[in-house]
Amino acid sequence: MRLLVNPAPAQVLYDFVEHVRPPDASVERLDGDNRRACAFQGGNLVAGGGLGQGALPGPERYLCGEAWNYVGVTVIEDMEHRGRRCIWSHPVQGGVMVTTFENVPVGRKLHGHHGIAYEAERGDDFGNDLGGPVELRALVDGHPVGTSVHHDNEGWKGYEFDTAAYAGTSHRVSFEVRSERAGMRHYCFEGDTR
Amino acid sequence: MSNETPSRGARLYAALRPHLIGLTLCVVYVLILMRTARYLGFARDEGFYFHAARTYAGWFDAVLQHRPDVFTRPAVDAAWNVNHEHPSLMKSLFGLSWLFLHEKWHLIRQESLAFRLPGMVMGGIGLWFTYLFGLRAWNHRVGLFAALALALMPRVFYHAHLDCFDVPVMTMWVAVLYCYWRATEGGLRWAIATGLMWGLALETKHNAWFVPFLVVAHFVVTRGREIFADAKGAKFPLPLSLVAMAVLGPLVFVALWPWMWFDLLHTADGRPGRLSEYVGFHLNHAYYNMEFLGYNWFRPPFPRTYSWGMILLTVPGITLLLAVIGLALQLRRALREATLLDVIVDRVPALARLRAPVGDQRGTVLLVGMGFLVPLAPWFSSKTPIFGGTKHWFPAYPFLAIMAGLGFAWVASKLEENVRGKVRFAWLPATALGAVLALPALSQTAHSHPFGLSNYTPIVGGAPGAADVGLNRQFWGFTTGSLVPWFNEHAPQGAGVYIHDTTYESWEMLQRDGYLREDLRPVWQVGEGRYAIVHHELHMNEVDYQIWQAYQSPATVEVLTYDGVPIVSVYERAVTR
Repeated sequence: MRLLVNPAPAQVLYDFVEHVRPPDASVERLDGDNRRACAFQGGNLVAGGGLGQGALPGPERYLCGEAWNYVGVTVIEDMEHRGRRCIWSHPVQGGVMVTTFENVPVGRKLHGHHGIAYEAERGDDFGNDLGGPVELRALVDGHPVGTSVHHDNEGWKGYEFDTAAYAGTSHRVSFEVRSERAGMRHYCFEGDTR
Repeated sequence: MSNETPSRGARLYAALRPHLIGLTLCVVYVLILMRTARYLGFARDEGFYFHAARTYAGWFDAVLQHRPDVFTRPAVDAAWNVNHEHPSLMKSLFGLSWLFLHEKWHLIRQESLAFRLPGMVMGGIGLWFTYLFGLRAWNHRVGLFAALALALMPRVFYHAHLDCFDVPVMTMWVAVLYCYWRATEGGLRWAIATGLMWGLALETKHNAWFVPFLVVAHFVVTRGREIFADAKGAKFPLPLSLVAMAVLGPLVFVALWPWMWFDLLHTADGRPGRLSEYVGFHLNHAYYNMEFLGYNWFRPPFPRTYSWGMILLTVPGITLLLAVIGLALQLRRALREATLLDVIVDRVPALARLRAPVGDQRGTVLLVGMGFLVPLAPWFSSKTPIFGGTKHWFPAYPFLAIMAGLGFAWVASKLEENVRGKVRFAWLPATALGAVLALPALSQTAHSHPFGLSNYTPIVGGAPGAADVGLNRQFWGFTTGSLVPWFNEHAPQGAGVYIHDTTYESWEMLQRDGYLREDLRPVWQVGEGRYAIVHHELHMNEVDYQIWQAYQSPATVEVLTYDGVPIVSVYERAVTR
């Protein structure tokens, strides 16, 4: 057994994964001009699973249509087969999934990762991609602070956006997820302010 | 020295002695396999074959009861449609063993052992043929060490326990090539035996499709000069054994596989028949996942180093070292056996001095070399799936073992030269050396059980080293068997267990054999039941994460380890449903 010491631990102000429930968070699905709130549901039965079945939704989630169009905390298997605890936000075709957090203490950076579950990201047995790139856009009080696009084979991809202009105060932070080819985008992101 | 003619009894003993030794090797190996089988859980594929074997046994029982409709298409298809992607010989033997030794005669109490016994016997026969090949081609010392080296390969030892086809087809390969080799002496008897044996090999597993390529290549390479000479005279002689294979092989294949009795080549409405379906299944087999050097390989191109790497990391090092010595010693002879080279040499007189006549016209060394290389040939292509681990090239191992036998015989002869006159018993140095050289393989094999697929050689640091560099820890979910004592002791009455990669039939067999409590029930979703297990393979990590979600905890209650490497983890949910 080895004991490793983080030489420069970050001071995390707010971990979004720990706040994916009302009243801290809300979720909307935008289909064109149609803006629809996704209902939160807790105490769900977590069932299913097995090889190739992908990440299981947790007991708490915002329901936004099909069974896979939810927003909630799950653990995906990344391209290195590591488990990543993150916020599932499968993009919708022609629309945008928006997850908003209220009263977030913002620091100098908005830091995080995003990825697609292994079997969806690796492609099929013939080397074909199963879906398109997924864009993650972060907004503070409605103002974009950064965008990161995840392409297949990028694995658990990091992002870091400059939020120094808002540092030291609390704000509304939103994450928009979109993809031009949304099929098989078992997409998940995590983030914090620091 | 006496000039007396040996008595009939002495001649009979001389003739039977090799077989008595071969039989002894076989029986001892089978007894060891039977004795150790209890500690080995049931692999996925075993579960499928339990089911198929039972179904086939039912059909055989109907035949024995002279049921009038048993040979009709509906009756045949009802039984033999099951698991028709693989030939029926071994499954028939599994079923007949179960039917008679367990069900009717009650000679074997455990059902699983009755199913597995034919596979074990095939493993024993594999040693027998390997010994015979080494003995007839060289000497007793080569054959005996070869048989031991084969028996003491941990992966072979594991698979030899199972009601599967990989060890049986290994045995069929060495049997076919032994018959072919004997047939090169001339005569019809061994040629016919080659044809029949190849038919049985075809009926064992599809690896046997490659045997004709080997035989033709060997014939051409070792008889090149004659073939060219004959071709100039418009003659194209074929070895009788090859003719026998072409005629008898398919006949045996179809005759012993009732599913092939109907729609063999095409259906009544002209669609491709069952032979085509069978061949197509294997030519278009799905790519399963396999970890190698830290990466999960799931589609081509697969690493061409896989087969060589896995041989290096799973076959005991002493066996490989002796095989390399044996190969080095035989290289010149192999070149001389390749008379096809004479065709080139004849045109370049300067090369003639490199050639010398070879006493053995049968191309023995080349046959052993090809016997090793041809089963590995599919993995020279990066398109060949690697999901089977080492088992898919098992037919190469008897020939690897023979090369090790040759290496051992040479080392032993050198030792004897050095101690001649210094020891009282002439047999002692070679015997002691054999014991010393077999010991590491024996130790590794004994230590591998019942985690044969998790075992790696010290070259990579054993199982922990293999885990560090990213080598597959297991497949088929058989290690559930090693958790039986834990479940029997800890699980509450009627608890449900998500059994991950283990099939229902394999779980059920643990209960039918009386090992696992009958009240414990398998469940098929991670969120169901009180317990969930994960067989640790790289691509199955997602099941761990699913359980963390379902149980809302990453904490295990038990981790089955081998040399400190996690093999199976057990999770228990906090609140049962």
